[in-house]
Amino acid sequence: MPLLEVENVSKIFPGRSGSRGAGGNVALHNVSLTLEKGGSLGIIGESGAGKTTLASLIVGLEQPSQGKVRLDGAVVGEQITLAEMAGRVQLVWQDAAGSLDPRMRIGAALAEPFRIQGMMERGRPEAISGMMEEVGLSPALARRYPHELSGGELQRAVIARALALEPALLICDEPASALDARLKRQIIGLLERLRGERGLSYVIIAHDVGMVRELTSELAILYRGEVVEAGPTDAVLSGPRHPYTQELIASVPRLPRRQAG
Amino acid sequence: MDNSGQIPAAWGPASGPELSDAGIWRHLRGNSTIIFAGVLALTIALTALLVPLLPLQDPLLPDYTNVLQAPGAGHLLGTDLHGRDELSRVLWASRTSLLVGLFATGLALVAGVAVGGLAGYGGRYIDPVLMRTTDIFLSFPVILGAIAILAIFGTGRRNVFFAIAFFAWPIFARVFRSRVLSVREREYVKAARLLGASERRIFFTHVLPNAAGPLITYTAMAVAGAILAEAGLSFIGLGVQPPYPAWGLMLAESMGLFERAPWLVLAPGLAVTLTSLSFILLGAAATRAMDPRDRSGGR
Repeated sequence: MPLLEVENVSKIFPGRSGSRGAGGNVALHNVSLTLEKGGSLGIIGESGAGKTTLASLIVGLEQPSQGKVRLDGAVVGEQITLAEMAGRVQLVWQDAAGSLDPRMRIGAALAEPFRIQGMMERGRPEAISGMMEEVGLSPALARRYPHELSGGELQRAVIARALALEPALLICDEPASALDARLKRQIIGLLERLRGERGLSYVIIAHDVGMVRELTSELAILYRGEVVEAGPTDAVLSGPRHPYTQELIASVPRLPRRQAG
Repeated sequence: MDNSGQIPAAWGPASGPELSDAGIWRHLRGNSTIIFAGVLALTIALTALLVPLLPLQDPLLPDYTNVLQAPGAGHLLGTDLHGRDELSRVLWASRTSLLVGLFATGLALVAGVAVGGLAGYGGRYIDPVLMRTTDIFLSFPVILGAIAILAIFGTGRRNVFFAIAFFAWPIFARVFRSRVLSVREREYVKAARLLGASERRIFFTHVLPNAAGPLITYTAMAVAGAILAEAGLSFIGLGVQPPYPAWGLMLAESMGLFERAPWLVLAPGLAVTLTSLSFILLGAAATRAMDPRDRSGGR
């Protein structure tokens, strides 16, 4: 059974008047995706293609207008609630600073998953230090507030929090697009290492090729709310068929090949 | 006298990441406005608190052999038309002023946060109902509304307190609701939801602390407004009744005597001005101290 199945999902947001009839904005149209356990799926699309909507649907923050999202075979939002999903799937946002409460010290933010779930033992400072070290953060930063950390440190903290409840699947919505090339490299290295250590599955959402090429084995191209091309990452990138994919590959400069993890 | 929303843009609330406690104190040091306002407010509050212990003369005891004495050794601020010690009366009146100002504002704050929070979370039906109600209240100047209430329920300190609170809460409800609407869409709120947090927990750990910041400014402003409103109501005879002292009432009683005994006008007038000023300055300083963009520059 696949870990994640997105079945013919459409999402229509109500029109500006917010009331009946009159179209509305189609954010996603008939999108289907599958991800096996331990696999990694890249989703590339331009701004407004529906990437973030898709991420919200997968984690259950939004409900699809049509179609279903299944996690381990159970329908998200029907057979499993948001609270039950906490230990199965987590989302890493593009804006790491925005996904940490500005009034909460890093240590408290990292302990929050355990507090919420009533796992007091695991939220103790020693355990939090361990979590921070695992993602390459100095435990001394636990006493800092988010705005006192750099962009790279923030993204590491957010990744640590997302992994706290040991989900099987991590959705990364442009996890490094706000970072410079060196930091992006480091985050890619971190995600690769965590995959090796924890057997994580990833969905990596991006607007360019760089990160997806390195982290994923499957790739779907999202264009104006529809999947226009999908397949093994290498195959899609080396032989793009849809005009948008061709343009994308022609226009994006390559990241330098990796030096060290 | 209307304290609803008349806040200069430069003092307006701001939001964003916060500094550590140490950072706030670092910011406060060397800021003369807040030191002045803080010392002033603290002095006034301590005085009001300690009045019963101070070696003052009875503020109510008339002495018709000693009326309208100029400030001097026996009476530092002179005596009034009934020969009562003006200093004692001004200081005793500070208790009424602060009590009404702080508690009416406190009640309004709690009510406003409750209404604003409910509206912010209420969705399609509750939100519009609560907000239109708020707008109706907001359209009354506090002092006019309070006059109406006092005309119905009678004068006196307790009624003044309720009358002011009754018309001071809408600004808190409006400000808090708009902040709640903005904060609840932040990604850190969604992140908490994804971690399995209940809506209750999300509200108290994330939404309330992050949405409440701007309320500090409005609270300080509202205290100043309530103090002025109390003085105004006492001035027109709807507040504290003679022979008890209140700044507004003392002003009213001595207006006609300004040429013979100007200290009787100046003392309560200055008292009410300085007290409300100290709260307005505190509000402005608190806003600046809490504005993180003022401090670390951000991203």
